[in-house]
Amino acid sequence: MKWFRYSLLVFLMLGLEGVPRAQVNEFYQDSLHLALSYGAADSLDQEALLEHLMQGIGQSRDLQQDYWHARFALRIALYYGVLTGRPDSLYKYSLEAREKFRAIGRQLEEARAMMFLGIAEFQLGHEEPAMQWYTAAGDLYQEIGADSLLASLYINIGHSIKEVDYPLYIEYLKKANSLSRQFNEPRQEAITCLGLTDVYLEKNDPDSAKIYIDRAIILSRELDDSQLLSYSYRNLAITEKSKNNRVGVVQNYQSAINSTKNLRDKAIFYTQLGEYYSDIEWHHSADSVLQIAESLAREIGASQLLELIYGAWRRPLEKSGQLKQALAISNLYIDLKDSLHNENVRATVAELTSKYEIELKEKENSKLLATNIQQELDITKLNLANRNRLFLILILSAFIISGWLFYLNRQKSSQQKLKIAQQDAHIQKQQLLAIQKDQELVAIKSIVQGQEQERGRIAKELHDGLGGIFSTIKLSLDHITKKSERLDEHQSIAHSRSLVDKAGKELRRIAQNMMPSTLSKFGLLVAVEDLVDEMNIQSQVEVSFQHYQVDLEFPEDMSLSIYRIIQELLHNAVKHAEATEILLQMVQHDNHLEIVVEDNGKGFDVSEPRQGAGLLNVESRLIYLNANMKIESEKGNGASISLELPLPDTIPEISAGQEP
Amino acid sequence: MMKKMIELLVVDDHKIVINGIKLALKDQREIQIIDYALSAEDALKKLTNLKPDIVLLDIQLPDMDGLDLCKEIKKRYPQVRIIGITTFTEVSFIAEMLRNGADGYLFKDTSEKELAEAIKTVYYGNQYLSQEVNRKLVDQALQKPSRRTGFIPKITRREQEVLNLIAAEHTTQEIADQLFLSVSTVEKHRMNLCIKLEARNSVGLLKKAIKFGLIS
Repeated sequence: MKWFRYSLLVFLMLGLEGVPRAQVNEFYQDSLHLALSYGAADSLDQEALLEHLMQGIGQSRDLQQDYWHARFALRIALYYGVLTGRPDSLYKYSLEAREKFRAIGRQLEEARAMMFLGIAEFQLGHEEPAMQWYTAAGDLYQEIGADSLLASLYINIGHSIKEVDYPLYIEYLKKANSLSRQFNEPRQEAITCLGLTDVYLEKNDPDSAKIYIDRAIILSRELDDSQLLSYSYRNLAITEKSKNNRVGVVQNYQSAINSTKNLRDKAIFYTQLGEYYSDIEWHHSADSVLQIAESLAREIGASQLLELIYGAWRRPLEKSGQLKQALAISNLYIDLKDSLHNENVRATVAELTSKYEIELKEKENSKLLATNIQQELDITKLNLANRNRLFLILILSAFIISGWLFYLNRQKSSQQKLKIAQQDAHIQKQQLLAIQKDQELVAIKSIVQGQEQERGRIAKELHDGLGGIFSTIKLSLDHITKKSERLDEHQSIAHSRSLVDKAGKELRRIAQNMMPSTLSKFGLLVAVEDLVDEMNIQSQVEVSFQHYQVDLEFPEDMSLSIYRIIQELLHNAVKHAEATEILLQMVQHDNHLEIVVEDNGKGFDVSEPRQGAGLLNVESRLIYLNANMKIESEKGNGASISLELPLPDTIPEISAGQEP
Repeated sequence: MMKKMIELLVVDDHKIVINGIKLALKDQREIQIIDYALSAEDALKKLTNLKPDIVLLDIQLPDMDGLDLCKEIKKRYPQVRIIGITTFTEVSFIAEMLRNGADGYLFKDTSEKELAEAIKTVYYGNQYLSQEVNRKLVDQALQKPSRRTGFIPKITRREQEVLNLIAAEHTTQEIADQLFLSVSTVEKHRMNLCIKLEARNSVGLLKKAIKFGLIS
């Protein structure tokens, strides 16, 4: 009901000052800016409105026109209170207006400013002063015999206390309703009628609600106000819903849709109608209505509404057997919502994916498809042993889809249909691939993270715990040597001591390999520098590490993965390629980081499949980092491996993305 | 008059290490371990009452990093001397510890002799780095050309090939054709060269390349 409240407030804003819009021309003579601000208010161009108001208040201050000064202050207060929800500013400007009106003896306006002060205090959470301002405003109205204006005051009091004291809210709403009827204020009466409708609908009393709606419809017809009329019809639809009158619900939503001129409202009504259709299992109708709602919402760029629409749309699509579209809509829905935090939707997507895949498989009856798959399988088998699992899954899904495409080709003869089908299949393929890649990513991510956590824990134990014990053994051996008088004992103790020494060093090396302690403390560059230093000291190889423009702080999991890749590539170059010189370099570009490891080792034939857990490890981390690897090598001529990985803020979120 | 003892506080979360240190210093008559602490918090609490001459400090502590604790102790009690005694052998840890005010740095696999020597050296106001620490620092200083002065950028083989062809006045398209690369890849290599040699265009690139002896 947010939009309803919002529009209600806008009405209040236009109506409260009691200035009919026809009088705009009159104001025009007095103040250009005030008139402009009315115009801006109508089109709801908030920035322009505020700008004009500020100019207006500035001018009237300069010219010491207290009355206009106060009026502008009141307008600005309204702007802040109604359109931007800034109670502090609402308070400030209302107070300014109140002082000015009071000074020049404008009691009517003073009372209005006090009412705003009450609203502001309420929004700031100060209930008592709020009620005091309200009471003061009401007293003043009565004092000057402006009883007719009490209605608007009561509407405001009602709104302020709605969340706090619902029964009292109803009381005020009723008071306002009868007052506005008494003093013939049709707009306010219509607004209060709508408010009361909501109250009765919430109380599950559709009959009472109906009475007020009928009145609201009559009033808004008299006023020729399309917005109020459409809200009335919408409320009537809700009333019919509780009476289980399907035809009534649908008809009234249609009336609401037909009577409103506001695209946003129209989209909302379509959405609600779609939800209703979905509830009563009229999935095809729901589908077509939501389709209209979507295009409207897109037109006005209402993303929150779009989210609602997509959320409502999935079920009818799924139930009417349009699994493909359901999947697409779910993806859009996820895109709009924060996908990482919405496991529910994720599960639905997984379910839809599997349903869709089953549907595909059921269509695989065609003989042609079978042979097609067989051929593909034969080719795949050749490479199978050397590809990782992900690759296999991708190939499989690709040929399932190409098979399905083939099936479609046969079914649809005309060229046009063929083209559409191909496009469809292409989009679908992208989505399936994206989902699978996504699932793989999640799996890889958790495996990598789990692995690293475990490694970190073990490394710490080894390093500090066991390392400390070794050191202590060494110290106590020192002590024994000193106490012992016998030379032969000295020798054997010295031997033990050197063994413990070796064991300690080996242990530290292992722990360091498992989890580079410098990485979390000093960052990626320092850790890699340490790694390179250590290699230069420990082995025959000469590694030079150079980096250019690298100034990014990578997230820890990312730097750890980069570190592991570098570690593995350097290790490979030394161990397998028997390189004696390695160049390791990192270059940071605008949106990616390039890492090159080049060695002068024995090289290899790039086309030949390479094996080993190390490289597999590198590959899973490349997927994790969304990175590319390019290998250039020739037998006898060294190798050059370059990696390109997107920088953190350009890494796409893990979601079923729309882009290929 | 009795000579003043050197008073020690040992901070390490492993009791066995503390016992080892106690044993190693048992015969040192002028050194006395007055207390030990198993955590950073424990250490800071004990330091409010005790006035040790030297703190033997481990880097890996359960509640706070030894590096940070070192800084904190130095800030609160500038007169207290600190010797880092850890299993971390990386230069970056040594450097950070010293930057944070440590007066000495030992690896935990130190010898009894070295430990006592370190304590005495630091007590008399000098810095003590164990032989192995010294070796590490020197090794690193020797092998690493300073990034500020005399830094010679290295380029990859591909980049060298591209550079040679640029020097021979080939266009990007020609280079791409000759090396069987795409134009965009050649552009990428060219850009990398510019970044590495700090050049803004091909002319600057060639100038710098000649300066660094990358082309003749």
